[in-house]
Amino acid sequence: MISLYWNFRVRLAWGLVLLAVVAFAVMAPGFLSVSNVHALVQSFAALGVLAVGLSLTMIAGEFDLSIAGVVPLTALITIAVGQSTSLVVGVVLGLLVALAFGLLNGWLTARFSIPALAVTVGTMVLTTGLGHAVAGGEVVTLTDFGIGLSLDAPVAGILSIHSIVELGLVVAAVFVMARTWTGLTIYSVGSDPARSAASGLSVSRAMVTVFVASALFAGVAGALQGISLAAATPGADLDTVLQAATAVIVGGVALSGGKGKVLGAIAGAALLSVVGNGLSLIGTPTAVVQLANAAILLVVVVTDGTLTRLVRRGAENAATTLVPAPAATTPQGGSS
Amino acid sequence: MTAELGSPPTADTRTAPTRTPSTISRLRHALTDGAVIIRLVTVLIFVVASIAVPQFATGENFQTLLQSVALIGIAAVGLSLITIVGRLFSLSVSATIAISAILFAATLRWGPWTALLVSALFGLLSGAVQGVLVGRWRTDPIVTTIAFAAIMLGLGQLFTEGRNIRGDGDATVFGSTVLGIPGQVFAFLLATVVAWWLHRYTVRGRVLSLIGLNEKAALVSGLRSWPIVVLAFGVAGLFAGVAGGLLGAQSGQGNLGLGAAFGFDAITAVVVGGVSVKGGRGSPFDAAVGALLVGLLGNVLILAGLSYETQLIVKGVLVLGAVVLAGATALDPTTRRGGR
Repeated sequence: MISLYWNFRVRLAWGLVLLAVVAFAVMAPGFLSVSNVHALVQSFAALGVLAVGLSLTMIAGEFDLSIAGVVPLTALITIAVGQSTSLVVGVVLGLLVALAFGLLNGWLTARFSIPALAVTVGTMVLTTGLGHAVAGGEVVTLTDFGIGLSLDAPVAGILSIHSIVELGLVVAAVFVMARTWTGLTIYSVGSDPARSAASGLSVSRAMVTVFVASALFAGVAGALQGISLAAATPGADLDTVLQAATAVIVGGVALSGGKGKVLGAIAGAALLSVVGNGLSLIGTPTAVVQLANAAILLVVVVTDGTLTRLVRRGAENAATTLVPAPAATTPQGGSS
Repeated sequence: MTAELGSPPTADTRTAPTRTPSTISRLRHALTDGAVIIRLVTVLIFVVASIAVPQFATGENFQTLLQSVALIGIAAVGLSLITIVGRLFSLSVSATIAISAILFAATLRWGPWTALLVSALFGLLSGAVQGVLVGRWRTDPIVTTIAFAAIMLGLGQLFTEGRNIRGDGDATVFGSTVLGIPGQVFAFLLATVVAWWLHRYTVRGRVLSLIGLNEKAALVSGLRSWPIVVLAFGVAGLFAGVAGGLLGAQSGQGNLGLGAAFGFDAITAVVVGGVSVKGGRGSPFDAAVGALLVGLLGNVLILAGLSYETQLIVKGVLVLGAVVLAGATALDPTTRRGGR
């Protein structure tokens, strides 16, 4: 039953995406125009790459808050270095810094067995501070915005180099999580780190992998965003984290770890970008769009919390009685 | 002071095999206790700054320092209860403070005390609702509080349309000083004492720590966790609301950007103060010390001529250091990567 629900969640999310697309195609004229779909894919790819990165850490049972600092920091480094020397050096340097923070997050989390949230609060403040240091109190701009324009120029109508790079990363993550041992290990570590370690899997390596992936995805998103806008501003970008987290959770990745599919996170990102794009086409204020996102998130979290409780109760039953009991159908006292 | 529940018996037997621990082993134990180290560091920074930084040890600077610490401290002391009960952090502290400040400014025409009451009640209500979700319905605290922050700020945006709300009345009563100490500092002291007393000397406070330490054991002992979680979130919200009200009084206005940095400063204070992010260990008093340390460091850095970004970097390093320190001292090979 429960596993059925979690598998169903991906399909449910994609169903909602389809529903939203149909609804907006009817309600908002111009929703399906090539230029709007191009804009939609742009925002979807940017959100998707962050959501997928975050979903990896969540499947491993952790949460990466530091992307709120890493995204603006990479953008700032890319633009600042790109302005003074060359953009390639800027991108490479930005990604190296992102990589370093991913390694730090993963290593600290695994080595000292601290909740990653506490670690990433620290690295978020740290990266935000570094961002301010790079900016030096002003908006950093790139005088040559031709590169940004060509990055966003339509390719095959609805795509762009910008979105192709991000979608490529997303596809790679789907493949790794669904088809490789690395992916399987991450799932295993997320559902039960103690037993994974006892079975000889390297918990630390899985942790470092997911945090490096999350930081690099955030770094790529930040660098591309910086080049596109030809500008970058310092400051923690918590709105983006909220959006990414909403996308992942709506897509059916459980915060308790080990459950959910990367495809679900992608569906969540698609749903949020379709709803955001459609609502603003109709002329809804952005505050209402944000409210809608937060409300969706709360509803999903409450449903998932209830279900997780049922699963855990069933699992504890099975563990204590040593009788294989069907999960969720065994009644047990206590109102935990 | 915090060692009553904070020191597991295994730690005692490891450092002192005899029944009566010698002074040396007690000292060794104290030096591996994060909270004690933080207190020592705070005193050390204070002494060094008094000697090395010329403008530091002046009455005027102490007043500035205490005032900057007070509001963050109030929020941090409340937040520490959430951390102690094992629900990590609330990320809605900033939003609660901003909305409370707006409410304070909007209701100031009915008198400063009414306005403060409105702010406090708003905080209490918002905290309690989040507590019910997290405690009763077992939602994830981080995601729930992020969502609540978005909802509060979204509603605030709709009602204020991003404008600044000016306080229409006289709120100088909270800005007045008694014996040279600003009113906010008294509020901070009061909040610390109340939270510390609640945590240390009431049954609910003791249960709070037990749930944070071992929720299953608490359940087996017949203690339901969710009312205590609601209590922790409620008090945290209440304190954030009071901090927001006082911030509104201080600035004479309220807007959505007010107090944006307070949430993370409060988290920094809690973590740096030595409250374990795994729950159960630490006390609101530790969070107050943490707030003092963070404020002290910020003050010294400003006086030493360092910029805002350097302060942020130092804060980030401080959080990481404190988290790692706590993790390293609490690292028990038998419970590696156990639940959280």
